[in-house]
Amino acid sequence: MSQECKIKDVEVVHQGKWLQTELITYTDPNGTQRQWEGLSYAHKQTDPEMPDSVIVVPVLKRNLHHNCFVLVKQFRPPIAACCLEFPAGMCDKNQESVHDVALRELFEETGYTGMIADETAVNLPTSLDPGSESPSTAIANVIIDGDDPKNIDCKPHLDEGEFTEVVLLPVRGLLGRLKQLVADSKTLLRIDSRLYALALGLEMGITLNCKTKDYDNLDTHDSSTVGNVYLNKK
Amino acid sequence: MCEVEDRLHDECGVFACVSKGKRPTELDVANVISLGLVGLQHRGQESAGIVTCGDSDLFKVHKGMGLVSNVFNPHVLSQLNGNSGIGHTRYSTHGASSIANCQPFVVDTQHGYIAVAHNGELVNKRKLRKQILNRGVGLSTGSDSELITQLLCLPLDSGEENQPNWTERLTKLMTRTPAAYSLVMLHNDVVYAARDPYGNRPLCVGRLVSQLHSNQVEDDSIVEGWVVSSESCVFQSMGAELIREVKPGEIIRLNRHGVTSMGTIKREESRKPAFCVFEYVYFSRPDSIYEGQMVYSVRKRCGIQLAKEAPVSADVISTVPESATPSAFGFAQESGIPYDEVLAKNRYIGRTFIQPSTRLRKLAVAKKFGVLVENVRGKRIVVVDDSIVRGNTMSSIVRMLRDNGAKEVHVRIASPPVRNPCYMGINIPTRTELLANQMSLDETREFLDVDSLAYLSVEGLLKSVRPESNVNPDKEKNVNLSLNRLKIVESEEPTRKDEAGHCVACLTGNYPVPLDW
Repeated sequence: MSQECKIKDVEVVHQGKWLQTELITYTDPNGTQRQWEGLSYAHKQTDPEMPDSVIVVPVLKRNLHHNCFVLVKQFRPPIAACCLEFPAGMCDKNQESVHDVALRELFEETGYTGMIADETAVNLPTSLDPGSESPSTAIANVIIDGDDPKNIDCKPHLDEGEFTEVVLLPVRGLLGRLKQLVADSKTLLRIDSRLYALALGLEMGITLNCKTKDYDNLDTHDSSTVGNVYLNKK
Repeated sequence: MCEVEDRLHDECGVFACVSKGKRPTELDVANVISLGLVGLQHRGQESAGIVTCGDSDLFKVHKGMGLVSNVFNPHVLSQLNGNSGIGHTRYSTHGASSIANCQPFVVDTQHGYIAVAHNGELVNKRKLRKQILNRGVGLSTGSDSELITQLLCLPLDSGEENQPNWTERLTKLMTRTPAAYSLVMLHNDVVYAARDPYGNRPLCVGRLVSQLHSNQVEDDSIVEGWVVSSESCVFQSMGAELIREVKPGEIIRLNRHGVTSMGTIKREESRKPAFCVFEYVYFSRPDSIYEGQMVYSVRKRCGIQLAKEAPVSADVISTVPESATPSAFGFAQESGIPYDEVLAKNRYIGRTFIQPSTRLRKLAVAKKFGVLVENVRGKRIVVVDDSIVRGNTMSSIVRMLRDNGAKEVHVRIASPPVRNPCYMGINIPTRTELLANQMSLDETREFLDVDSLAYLSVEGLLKSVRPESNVNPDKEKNVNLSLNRLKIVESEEPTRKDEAGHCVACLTGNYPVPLDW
């Protein structure tokens, strides 16, 4: 007989400054009691509507330039390596909305001032790693006007102890560039899986040959219009 | 068949762009080139073509008939994505026009594919064509571009040891044919630009900067690439600055690292350069800059000079829209007679070929121009135009003005009469078709039915084109101010007086290059 799983007990096994390890007792669909190890943020989001964090997907648009994603690279102790990720940040208990957090984190980590791509978009909280941890995240699409003087030669505003490097990668051919970065890196470089998934999705969009807009609005790669492709011999 | 508009033709525009630094570039090179071609659209509307070099040195080509904005849409440009590229706009010529004749031309050579686009006509094309054919090379078109491209394919006697020496090949081409061409060539993602030793056709180099209003012009990091163009007027539309003109006979190389002058071919026996004076008179956009001066300013000076040479008493100075407007302003300024408009222009009339029937010709002009009757009735009008070739347009305009009550119509032409053919690529009607050869000044005046007619003298034109001897200091200052705003960095020494030279062969019959059949 299949029932709904229920949480019976959550015991904090280790309390850290930022994270706490929990031993969760729950019942499985058969009613059997089981235990699961999980991580949680030490300071949980109290508002059930709000996600614990926001991931920003920022696209930098400049006149006569191809669109670029604005990414950050930093050393991540848990993986003992650098990771290339989207800018992101936690939702504080201050009355900031998801959009406010997204724009603020983008500004602090990269120096860019962006605009929410679609104010009416519903930022559904999603799970980062549900097998191990409880925090939820929303994903916000942000557009950066690269021709605005504010966004020319801008620098991040990092806190003490933060050492992120800003990396721009073109939307066009993102997957190839990610693979190339990993291959060229002298030390181990990991790509955040959400970034990688987006790159895969872009490639799928190309091969699905859907309705066209050009690449700077995310397009297909139907090369039948441009005739005569010549390959120079090496 | 004859044209509605009474003009000299066959300019063509060339453009090239090379992005700086890392490959693949973030610069939207295809879009930059298309912007460049749009800015050069006045030089040719028949067809346009772009070739770009992308990843793995793959060439992508797209050519088509019609306006740049019709041939190149965002979808096509997206596929032309690349790190460097060249483009071309072509002017309608008589006879069949087909995509096969559209530039740039792409051919395979010993060292890989090259693409070539050029403006101008080779003065010794017939001889060159024979030479090429005698070598066993087959030609598929009658165009000069194919000739140029084939000449660049010829192996060098000195050998190249697997590394192509395009500078050497271009040098050989330029010594075999002295005029007239401004060309751009693409090989891998490197662009070569060359101007014939007489500098007959225009060509200039600019740099793309990331900010239009940058204060740190000196900062190398904000340069994003380099561009080559027939005219400098296109630069502002893409955030580029004019560096300088390509010197007559010079070969310039543009690659991801920068712009390098590879050398200059000298003219024979200390002949003077021969920049086509009609670029100043009519062809170029007024905001283009040649020899450190604005085309607009030269046209204005022509008007001033014309008023000095052929003054007239009248109520209003006017223009045939639009290229003659600066000259009309200059004429009004010098004569003290107020400037006003008497004609309205319909911008949407394309160039059309019509049957040579007088009635149809007259109607066609009326399609393009309308009379501003209140400005015309009872007035003594001076109409300034930049040139007369066959006289059809002007005679129709005069008729329209008279029909609408003009008391007197005087015509002033801001250039000398065209009497001779051009061998440098300007499509001038045969000697017999040229109005100036058919009749004397007085007969022309009668033919046009005007109260007075005068042309600018050749000396007057040359004086207007070379201002050191002419203009008053205040006007010169204005010219320099506008140049400063354009930030012409690395500006070369202005051409020394004895070094300047302009081709006026169609006006005087003195050809700068010995004709070689």
